[in-house]
Amino acid sequence: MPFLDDLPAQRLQQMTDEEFWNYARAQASASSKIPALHNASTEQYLECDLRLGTCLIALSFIQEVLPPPQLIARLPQVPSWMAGVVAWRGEPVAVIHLERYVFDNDDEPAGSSMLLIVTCEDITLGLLVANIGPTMALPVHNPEAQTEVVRGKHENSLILDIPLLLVDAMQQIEAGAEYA
Amino acid sequence: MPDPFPFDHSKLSPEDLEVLRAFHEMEDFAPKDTSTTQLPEAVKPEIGDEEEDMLLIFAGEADEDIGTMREALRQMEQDDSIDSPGLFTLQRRAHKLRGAALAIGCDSMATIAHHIEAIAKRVKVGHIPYMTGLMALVQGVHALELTLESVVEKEQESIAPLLDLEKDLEALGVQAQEEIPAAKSDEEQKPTSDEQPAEAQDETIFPEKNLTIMHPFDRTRLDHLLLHTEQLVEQQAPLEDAQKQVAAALQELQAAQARLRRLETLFSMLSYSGNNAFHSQDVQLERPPSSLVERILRDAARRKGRDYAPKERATAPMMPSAEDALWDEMEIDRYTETNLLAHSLSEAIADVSTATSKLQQAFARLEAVIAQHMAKASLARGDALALRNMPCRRLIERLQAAVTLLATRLKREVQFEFSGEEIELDQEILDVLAEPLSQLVRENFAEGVQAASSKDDSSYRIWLHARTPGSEVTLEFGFSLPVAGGLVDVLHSALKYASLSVSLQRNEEGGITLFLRVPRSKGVVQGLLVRAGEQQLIIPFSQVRRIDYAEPGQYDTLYSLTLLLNFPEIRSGKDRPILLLERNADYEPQLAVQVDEVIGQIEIVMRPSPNYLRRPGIPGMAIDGKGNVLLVLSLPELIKQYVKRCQNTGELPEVLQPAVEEHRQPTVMIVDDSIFIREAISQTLSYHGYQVKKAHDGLEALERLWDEAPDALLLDIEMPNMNGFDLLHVLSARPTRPDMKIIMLTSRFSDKHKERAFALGAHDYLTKPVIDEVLIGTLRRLLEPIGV
Repeated sequence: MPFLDDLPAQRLQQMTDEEFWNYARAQASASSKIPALHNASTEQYLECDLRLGTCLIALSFIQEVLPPPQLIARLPQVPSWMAGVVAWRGEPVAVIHLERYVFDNDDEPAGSSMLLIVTCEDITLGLLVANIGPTMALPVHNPEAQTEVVRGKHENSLILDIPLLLVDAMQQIEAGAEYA
Repeated sequence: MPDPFPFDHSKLSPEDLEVLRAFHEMEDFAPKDTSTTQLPEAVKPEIGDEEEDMLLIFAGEADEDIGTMREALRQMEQDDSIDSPGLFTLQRRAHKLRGAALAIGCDSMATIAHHIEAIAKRVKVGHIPYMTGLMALVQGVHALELTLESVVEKEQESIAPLLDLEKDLEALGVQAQEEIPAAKSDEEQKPTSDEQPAEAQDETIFPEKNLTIMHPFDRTRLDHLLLHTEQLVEQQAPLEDAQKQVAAALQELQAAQARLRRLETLFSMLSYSGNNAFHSQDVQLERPPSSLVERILRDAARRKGRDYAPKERATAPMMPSAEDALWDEMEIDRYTETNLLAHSLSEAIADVSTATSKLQQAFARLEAVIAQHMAKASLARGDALALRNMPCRRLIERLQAAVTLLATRLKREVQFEFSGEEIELDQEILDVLAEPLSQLVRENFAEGVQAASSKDDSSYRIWLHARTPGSEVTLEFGFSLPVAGGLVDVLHSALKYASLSVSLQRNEEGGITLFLRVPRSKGVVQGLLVRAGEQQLIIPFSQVRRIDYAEPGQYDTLYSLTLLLNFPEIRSGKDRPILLLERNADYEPQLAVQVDEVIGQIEIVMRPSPNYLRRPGIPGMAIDGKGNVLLVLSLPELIKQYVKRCQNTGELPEVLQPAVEEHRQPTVMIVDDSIFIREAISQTLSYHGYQVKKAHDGLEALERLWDEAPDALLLDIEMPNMNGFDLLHVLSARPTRPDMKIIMLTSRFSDKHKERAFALGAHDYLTKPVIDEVLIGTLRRLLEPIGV
């Protein structure tokens, strides 16, 4: 493909459909040969905006990023940070307001524009966040010593321990039924 | 004078010791050191002159019980098997007699009855050989008869028969009681079949644990198949949405096509006028092609505050010169560029028309194919669901076998009638029901026959009729005579597992009939789609009797659905629909629930919620075609939970239309099958200013509960037809008066009975014989906070 490098916009406009798709395929193929951004000692994190700050979530736990559904089914006797239940891949999944959960406040959360589906082992939850930002590489974390859901800070962003968060959230939601 | 019959305390069971302790606490029972006190040969029961009638009532009742026990012994002799229903009858009658004897002060009779009860239990579990046990039981019943004779004839309870019995038991090597471990008695450790705690019963009938599953294939795969076929059906809504979008796009295309046609006409006119101008060599000004265009341009200019003036147009660069146009050497048609453009435009429009027409045809075909696909997906789902179903014949055969076996054992004619054997039900539900219904035949019905056999020789009937009113199946399971209580208790686990509802009614033959309402298929729910606040929810049809839009005021109790769900209340308008809940029986109150909107009806597959999302009153969830999660509700359970929450917090339930109550004397209903207990307690309560109602079993209490509105129930456990636990089950599922207090008054004092009663909603637990002050104190303590 002689026009792969420094392809002028005009040339792009002149392409036929077939030429365009050939070009797109070549670009995709070329990008897959780019060396990974992280190596064995680093892990990729996604920055998520919350009204009271930002947090970082390891990409390896994120299954999907979706716009939040219009209707979230409320469930009685649940913690205040649980927004409700949505269907994901045909199964009901609990959705939590990440801001309420992390900062433990009962204020009305800022409008959420993104729903992150996170999974660890057999637990799946949806996390509502105001927005998502760039990804960044951070050193790999040793999970064994971890006891807090917020396991540290990178610059001003909170680094979340997702396996711990999932277990803790699920236990608290389950406990709600006992108090019912 | 030395005591000829020294009393050995070590031979007393914990129950005996408890009874003695209770008596010692009574004011009129002087505390004595029984280890040194010589018991007299004959003990006169503490009976005053005014209580002579009570003694007669007791004697009559005890005589009847002993008669039934005799009949049960004869049955045992014939059966020669530990499965003999006679054992069950003996156990229950002895228990009943023990309670009444304790209450009137005949402690010798109470002890003998207790021995009989304990021996029967031990024979049943194989701890005592059958024939030895039978001999011991014969001696026990004989001792009871002799003791009762002494009470009736001499008005003194002779202790000699008890002592003789204990000697006989010793000679037979029969221990009435098990060795008692320090912490728990064997009775508590190894419950007998009729006393199994709920967990143990769950094990016997909970299908996931050990039920014989008849599926010839892996059930997980069947579940997957059901899920996938349901997902196929769920595609209907997105497909319909996509269809609508394509239809809208097609309409836009047709509109654009119409606009193009109009432009084509205009363009042709322009082309024609251009040619004319060309031919007349008068092509100086570019005029709008029509008055319409001119008007549009003029209006636009006016809006911008300018005058409209047609612009001059430069000569078209491709336009041939006048000379070229005039000279036509070959005399052939000449086309200008405008002509060619107009022609191309016409051709393009024709192509678009053809494509649109083809698209319309393809879309019509697609619609037909989608409709066909959805119909087939629906069929596939129906077929997959049908894999779970079996005809009711399967259940009928099990019951028929149980009835035949029983009739053989009893040597009585017992007819079994049935109908609706081809009606299909979910296999799991059939399996879950088979064992408890058979148990009702083997034990509860058998005891009813034992009790009746001493009076007449008539034949008996059991029937099972399956019917299909709407989306459910109703199973009518009837007995032609009164049966032993505990029906609901026996069915409890099955009802809970399969989300079934049950009601009990007396039938015309004087017996009792159970009505079980069963969903046709366990997975599919058919119901109303309603809105509460902003949320859509499903309420199965089986729970709703009628939808009403009338003003609140004609219901016994009206709740708000948002309140039941603990959602924020959003009052939205006056004419909100009211759902009248289905009543299991005519005597039940009419409960109603107000919702914000009834959207329509829905048939959808209900999935069990993941464990951590399970909530009482929400048996499952469904996912609609748009991917929204819909909660499936059980309104009776939600009401029950709401009332319970209020009780825990000490608040009165907030109801939109409370039941009308008038100021009245505190009323207590005594529910006990013993006439003596009813009369004795009644006298005490009347003396202390209570209005008293009496019911001889749980069913009678239930039938009268709403109309007579007692403030408290004094509830025995063991009663025919509907026992105390049965009534608690029913009341907890269908709370009538949320503030009614329930006090258990029973001779059962083990922790497991207490725990069960409290778990089912009892407010206090007293054991017989109860001291008047304790009874009155308990009533006052419970009734005072609610202002009675």
